[in-house]
Amino acid sequence: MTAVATPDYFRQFAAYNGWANRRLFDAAFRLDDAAYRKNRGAFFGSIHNTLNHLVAGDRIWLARLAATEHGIARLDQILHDDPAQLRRAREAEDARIVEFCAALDEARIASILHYRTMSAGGRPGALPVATVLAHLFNHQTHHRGQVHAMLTQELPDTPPLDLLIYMMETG
Amino acid sequence: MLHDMFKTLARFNAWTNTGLYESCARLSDTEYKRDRKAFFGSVHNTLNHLLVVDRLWRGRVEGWKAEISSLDQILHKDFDVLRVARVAEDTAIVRLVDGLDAKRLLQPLKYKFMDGTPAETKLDLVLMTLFNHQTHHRGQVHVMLTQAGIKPVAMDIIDYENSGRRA
Repeated sequence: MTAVATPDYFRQFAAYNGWANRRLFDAAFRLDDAAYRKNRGAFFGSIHNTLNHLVAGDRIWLARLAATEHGIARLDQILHDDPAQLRRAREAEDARIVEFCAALDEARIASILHYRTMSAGGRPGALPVATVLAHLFNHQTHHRGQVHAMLTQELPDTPPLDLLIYMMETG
Repeated sequence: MLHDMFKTLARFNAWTNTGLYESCARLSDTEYKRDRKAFFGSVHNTLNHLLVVDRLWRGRVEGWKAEISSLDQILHKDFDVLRVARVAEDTAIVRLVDGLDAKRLLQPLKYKFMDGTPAETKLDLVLMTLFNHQTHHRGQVHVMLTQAGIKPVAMDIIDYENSGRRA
């Protein structure tokens, strides 16, 4: 019974992640361009910059997990200045996350990922894949929360992103 | 393996709430209560909401009824009192997760929504919801802090792992 429990957990999170990002982008795209790019004093400034950071963060971790190069220089890098292209990049990353989680097994989850950090000149890091994935999904939720707050400041009827709502919707 | 992950998430939750509350303590009372139009309005309301929902879920899992009448209920008007309650709740969450039988994680939890509607959700998804909900609203508080000119302390899982405060 426990053999498939943890891969399933991450697969479910991957599916929720895609759903939440679609909902968030739908809401963000209701804004005009100025409102979407406005510096609202978040850690990365604007909704646009925060959404770019999320794509960058995921691309970095997925490349580390696949042992490939991500080609990203900084965590605040603007990968796509055009929102439509950013959205397509978001969807591509979410599909990659789903694919990665679909291929997981207990051994991979328990294995240690070795990588180099973005900061401090690329120090070596090592973490269990389970922790990397927990971080990846948690980091998404954290920054979505930031974007959500910035959206409700403009559009009070921005829909919630609760995992519970997702679970009710998808049965 | 799944149980180990939830034990880490419970400890991460406690650690990151400590950091968040340290950052929030630097707000003036006016800034702390200012309606910044997050889903629950202010930092004060959002932190209270988090405690409300955690108590609701912990009650459902442990089999007691949390005295909550609405999701936007203000449990504690005073930040220092709320902070003490937060630490107690986070300790209780660690204890709850540590004490779980790993088999129970895959079993459905039967509970009722606030309006009395019966529901059933696998316990691992309940815990996923609880921890994800925390992080979501902490993200909102984080924006409100930076908007108030406070630079919050680092609070992601990588930071937690690097802090040495492991499970």
